[in-house]
Amino acid sequence: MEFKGFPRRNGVGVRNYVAVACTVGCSGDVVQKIAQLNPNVKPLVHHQGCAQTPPDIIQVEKVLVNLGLNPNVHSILLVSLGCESVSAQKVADRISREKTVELVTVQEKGMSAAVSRGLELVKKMVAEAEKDRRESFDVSELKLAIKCGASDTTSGIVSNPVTGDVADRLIGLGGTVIFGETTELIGAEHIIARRAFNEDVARRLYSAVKDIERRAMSMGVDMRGGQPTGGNIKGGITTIEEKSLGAICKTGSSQLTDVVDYGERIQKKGLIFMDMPGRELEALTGFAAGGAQVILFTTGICAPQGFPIVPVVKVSGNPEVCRRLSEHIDYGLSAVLYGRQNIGKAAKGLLEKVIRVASGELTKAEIAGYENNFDIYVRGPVI
Amino acid sequence: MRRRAIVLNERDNVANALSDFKRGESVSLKVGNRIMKVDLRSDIPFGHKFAAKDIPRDNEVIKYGEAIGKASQEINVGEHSTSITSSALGGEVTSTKVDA
Repeated sequence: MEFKGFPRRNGVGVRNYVAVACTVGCSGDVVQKIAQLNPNVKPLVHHQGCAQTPPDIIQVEKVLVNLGLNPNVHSILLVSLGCESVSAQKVADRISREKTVELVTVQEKGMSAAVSRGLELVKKMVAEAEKDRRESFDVSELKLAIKCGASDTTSGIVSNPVTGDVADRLIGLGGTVIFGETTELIGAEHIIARRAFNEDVARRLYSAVKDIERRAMSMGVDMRGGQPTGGNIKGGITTIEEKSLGAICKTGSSQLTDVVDYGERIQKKGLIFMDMPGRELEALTGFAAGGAQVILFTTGICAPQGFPIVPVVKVSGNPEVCRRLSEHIDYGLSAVLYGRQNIGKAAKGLLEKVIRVASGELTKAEIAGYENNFDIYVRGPVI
Repeated sequence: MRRRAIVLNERDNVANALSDFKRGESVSLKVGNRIMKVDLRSDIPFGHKFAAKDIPRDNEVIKYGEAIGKASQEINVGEHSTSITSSALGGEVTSTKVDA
């Protein structure tokens, strides 16, 4: 099986974006102004990069570098304020090893000069990107991230099981599947750990779950205790294992190859777990920094937003939502719910949809332009 | 619309209702390539589980091909499966009352 993508020095892009990213929240406005004046660029506006503890600054730098290195990005303009804790120059140097990167600094000549210099630079980048053409690549080049959000009863019995089958199929074809949402593993971590490639991978998985539980506990919150919730029980869920498995089943049944930290670039093939929160704003960023070219997102009642540089395919098994919110749902699985299609056949169709999106077909979030909001996950206090 | 239920993994001993069912209704289930008929012994709301096989007390309840807990009392085929003790928590959820 093949898709049509853009060859990069490391991997294959499914989009050919010129990105403009702020290195700190304080220069976000300048990024937005450049993007307003040149709609051919993708703005990457987050709120981190300064007045944070050193481990978080290192994490923000790593994520910025890895977002720039995502194969969907052709080239990138970084907009720095100048005095932020993140080293914009270091971020630029690391991206420059693989692709064109430019840097403007607001504190040098002010906002107006930064906008006009930025516009000159992105004009050249867009002209260069225009020359690129899609070529055929084997689907083993794909890194597909999977995530669920705004879930309902249909997620656990239709869209997540179908997505699990898609994950197994893609891994069977030599591709890579990334999942995260550490809090979703609580209560079923032992089940995923049994699928770990070796003891070290299992140990790192347990450690990620323990860490997030410990941090919630330090705020006085027991994340395990109240599960499943009253609403879950009403929806048909009886135990915490069942609830977690309802989400985890979207990972299929493949061996867990590796456990990586948030925003780390994925190097291995197969099924990969990335430590991250479940919130979309930060979760999708982690996947994008990991190198995912496409995100497959299952939803019950409809989580509409995409991600600036990675197409997000929204899937729902809720027939009423698929009708009422067709503006946001890319692939409906009502046929499975109605018993007209089995999970395997639905998975085959969904994988084909993913490959079409990888080859250039626009997602609903891309068509609507509902994809500009995101943030970078940080663990420590804001200073 | 065909009213039916789904068994998510061949190893499962519970099925999931894909619509609301009344006690006494018959449901056909596809497990692997085998079609089986189950007579429901309880009302089963949409999204809820019922036993696809007899599950003796203390035996594992299997869904998604994995144990989601142990039966805290015998669950006969066709019965609403809510008497399950979590192995991760040690607590038991026995709420069978559903408002929906």
